[in-house]
Amino acid sequence: MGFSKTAAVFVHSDDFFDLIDRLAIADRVDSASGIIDDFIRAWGLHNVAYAALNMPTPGAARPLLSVTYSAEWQKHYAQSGYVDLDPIVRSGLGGILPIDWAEIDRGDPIIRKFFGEAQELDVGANGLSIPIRGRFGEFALFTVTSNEPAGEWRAMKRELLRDLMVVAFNFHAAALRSCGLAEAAVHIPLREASCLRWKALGKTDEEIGHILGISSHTVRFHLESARARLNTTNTTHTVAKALALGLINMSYEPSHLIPKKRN
Amino acid sequence: MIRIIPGEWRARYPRLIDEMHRLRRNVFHERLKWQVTVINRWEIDGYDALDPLYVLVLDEDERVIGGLRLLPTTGFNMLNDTFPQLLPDGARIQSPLIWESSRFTVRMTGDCRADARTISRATAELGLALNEIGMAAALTHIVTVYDRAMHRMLMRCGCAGEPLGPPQMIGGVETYAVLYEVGSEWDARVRHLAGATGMSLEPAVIETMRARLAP
Repeated sequence: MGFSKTAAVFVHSDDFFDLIDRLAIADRVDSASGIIDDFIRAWGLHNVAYAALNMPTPGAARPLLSVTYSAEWQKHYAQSGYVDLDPIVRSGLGGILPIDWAEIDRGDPIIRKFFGEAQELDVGANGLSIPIRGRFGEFALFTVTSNEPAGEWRAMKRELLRDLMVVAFNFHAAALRSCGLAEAAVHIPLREASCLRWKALGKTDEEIGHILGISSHTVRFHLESARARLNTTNTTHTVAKALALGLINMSYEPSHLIPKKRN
Repeated sequence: MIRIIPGEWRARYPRLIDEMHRLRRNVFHERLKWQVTVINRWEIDGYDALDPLYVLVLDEDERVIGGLRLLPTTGFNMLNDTFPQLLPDGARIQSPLIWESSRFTVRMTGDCRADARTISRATAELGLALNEIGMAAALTHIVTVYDRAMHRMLMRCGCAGEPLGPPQMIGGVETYAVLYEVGSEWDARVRHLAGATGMSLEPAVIETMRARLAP
């Protein structure tokens, strides 16, 4: 793998779920930004940009922005009126599919100039933008950039995409909270959520106990509590329902990283 | 063959969009007699206005013979916002890794037998495309709402989803909300079903999805 090995360790551990849990209680965009910083570094990413449109609050005439782009780029972007021609904004805000910047057609010389200037002002050679749609009908776009060589970027992107979509969604939820929009939540306790997530990734009770530092007996207790709370018939059903209800977020785990069964 | 059209670009594909809406009218309004909105020759609703991702299956003459639309469950969608009674205790499905499929339609053709434990080629192509899109977008699941007839048909071929709750009567139709897990199992099951009739399937054209057009 060309990307940082730290990234693989970071995201395929309970650290990722801790990150999501911390994001889940952040209610300011600057705190959210700080919380995801380790994640960004671990993946060797360069910039992060979040923009939300039509947030359902009075006086939300301007987009809500949180970007790490250079001040020079932000100034140039604003002065050139780039929001009107930015192909990523035009494809992404209101879209559904994730956008790899490499797929954007650069036939138009104006678009080529745009990307050229972006590169000069340290935006990042590669980018991946996740469109977000929210429950108030609002739209947002969450972007990460990278300076990895093309081959490494392609490999990294596949690994990164699912985790990024989860981070993007939770970042947006923090932005909503920063606008004073509380959610009516169906919650399950953290330990039940953790056990369910690892079950979703195919771990045994023993493996989960080892990961969380609790006995497998306690794991079974948490799974049973979740099952009763969600009124389901077995663990598989509980996991499915918890995922469907957004009670747990999942992280992709390639099979070669799942530890061998212990005797 | 499969064509994927982001709703916000519908103006670039007027013929395909027209055929899709007319097919939906034929199926949902005329054949199934559901309570759907018909405007002129189109079945169209408020969710179309949200620019879903349309997935269409075309025949060799590039006519639309089937389709579905996808919406993220994080935004407005049919299950949360039109059929919330299908979910327990006021819960909402809200996951960045789950999309909702709706208006699944396939035109009835001669190769479809009502009692068969098999599925038509167009249904198989659409089912495979849905899974491939799910995998390319790193989704864990697809959720959908369907009626009893569809549920029974899918049960017969072992393709029914996992119900999220007991079915409810909605508009005189027994309605289910179900969850499908994206991945290799889904792919294998659909290919197995299609293979059982001796059909050979082209791989879904996901390149359409990758080829981002210039704005």
